[in-house]
Amino acid sequence: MSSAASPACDCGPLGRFVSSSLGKKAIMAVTGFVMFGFVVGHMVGNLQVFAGDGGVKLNAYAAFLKNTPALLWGTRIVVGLSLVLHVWAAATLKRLSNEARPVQYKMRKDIQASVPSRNMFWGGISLLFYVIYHLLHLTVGVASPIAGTFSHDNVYGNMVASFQNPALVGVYVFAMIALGMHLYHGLYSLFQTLGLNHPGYMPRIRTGAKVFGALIALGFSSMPVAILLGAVK
Amino acid sequence: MRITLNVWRQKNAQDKGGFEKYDAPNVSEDMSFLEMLDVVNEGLISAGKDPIAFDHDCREGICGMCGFMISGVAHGPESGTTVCQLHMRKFKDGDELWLEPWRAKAFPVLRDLTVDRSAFDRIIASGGFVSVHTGSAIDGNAIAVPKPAADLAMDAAACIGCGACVAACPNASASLFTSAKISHLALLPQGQPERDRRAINMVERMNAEGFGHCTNIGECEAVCPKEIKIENIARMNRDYICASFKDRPAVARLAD
Ligand code: HEM
Ligand code: SF4
Ligand code: FES
Repeated sequence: MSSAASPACDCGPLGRFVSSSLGKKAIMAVTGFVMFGFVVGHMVGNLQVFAGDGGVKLNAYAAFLKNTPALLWGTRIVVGLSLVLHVWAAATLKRLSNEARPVQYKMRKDIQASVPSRNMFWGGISLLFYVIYHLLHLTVGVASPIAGTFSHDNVYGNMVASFQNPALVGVYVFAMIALGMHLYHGLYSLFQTLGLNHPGYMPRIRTGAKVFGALIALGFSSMPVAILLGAVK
Repeated sequence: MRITLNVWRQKNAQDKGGFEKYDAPNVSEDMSFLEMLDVVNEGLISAGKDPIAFDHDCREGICGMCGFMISGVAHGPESGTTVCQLHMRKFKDGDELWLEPWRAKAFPVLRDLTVDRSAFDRIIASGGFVSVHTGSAIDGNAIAVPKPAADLAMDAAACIGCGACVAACPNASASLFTSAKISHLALLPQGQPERDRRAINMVERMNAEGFGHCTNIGECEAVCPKEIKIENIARMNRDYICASFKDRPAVARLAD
């Protein structure tokens, strides 16, 4: 077959794949799914805050993770690498998209696009800032409001002390709504991106993405809100 | 009925361009949108002014030449319809409309509402064909085509290359067009020998032309006059990803 297309680069099949927009989207889809898997596990683990035992279970769980470095560091490396790749692909594609329309419309109406789907990039950037703060706050323990009193052995205590602050609870709830919206579109989008589209499955995938997005937002938000209201202390 | 038009006027590719206001006082609801513009243009010509340039050819919704934004929607408010098949009865007396050309780096404005869509031709040239031996024609039924595959291929082949999908996409992506052109061949037995190369070449050409990426929001499907489904985009993604693994450069060069 004669090809009018010259290769995008002389960099082998992987280089060509990564330099194409479809390849970058596939990377976003896979890394996004990995992060989703982490987020589910992270949420289920943390929901032990509701055990009603003053934090015994949650702190034991945290100690278990700490004493299993292969699991802890394996997860940190895989999820961290996924985040880096995901954000790198998002930023590169965003630039491509900005360049693809140098002159804006005076008027452009969306006919059916959902709010989450139109805000994946800026929602994602909010998540990035949130993730940085969250790590400094509850993993490293150097961010306010508990910078001085943070304890690596008392995860429960760190949470309870922090979420007495309504502004901080607001930040966390806002971030979790952003995450829920990101997943509302992202969990559907990743199937489409990887070519896993079937008219029989697509409506269910769309519904599933909405349900999981909502469950993640509600499940995570419930913790700081319950602490603020004094239901967990 | 009376319609007020704000039309993008731009003398040539270099001109900066801007909106001009026109009054269309005697519009019949039986006119097509382009016939309404014809009447406005006759007025402009008799006043010694430049008529509004817009593309059109068949005026039957089958050639893909016509198309521009009407108040922010590609091909206007009626779904599944080209602007030549859109009728003025879809509007109300006193409406004020904004007409803009498709906007994308890969579709430079030539004049007023006309844009250069040869980027689409180059995408087709990069792989949107099947290679056949010329000579005596083969038996029409020698290759069996399953009916469902033929139907899906026909649905994809309905794409007329108008460019509305690019225009409506927030990323100016050509994914719906390219995927329709990849799909209608990928679904047929005749398209199989070149299927992997086709997916790679057409996707790379689409990227090289400066179109944006796909964020799966579906605005393209919503404005497409031929109702091409984004299922085709998933098929393109699938073919491209698989081809990236199956393709062997040496084999490809042999086939070139
Ligand atoms: C932290 C910074 C983040 C940024 C900047 C970001 C940005 C983006 C962007 C721009 C998209 C593309 C949307 C599209 O093209 O349709 C996307 C997709 C996605 N994101 Fe994120 N995101 C972030 C974090 C996350 C997290 C924490 C998760 C999971 C828990 C996640 C899961 C996904 C998924 C599943 C997709 C769908 C991939 C696809 O479209 O095929 N993202 N993200
Ligand atoms: S896919 Fe639809 S909107 Fe896009 S060029 Fe083809 S016919 Fe036009
Ligand atoms: S003029 Fe041919 S499709 Fe509109």
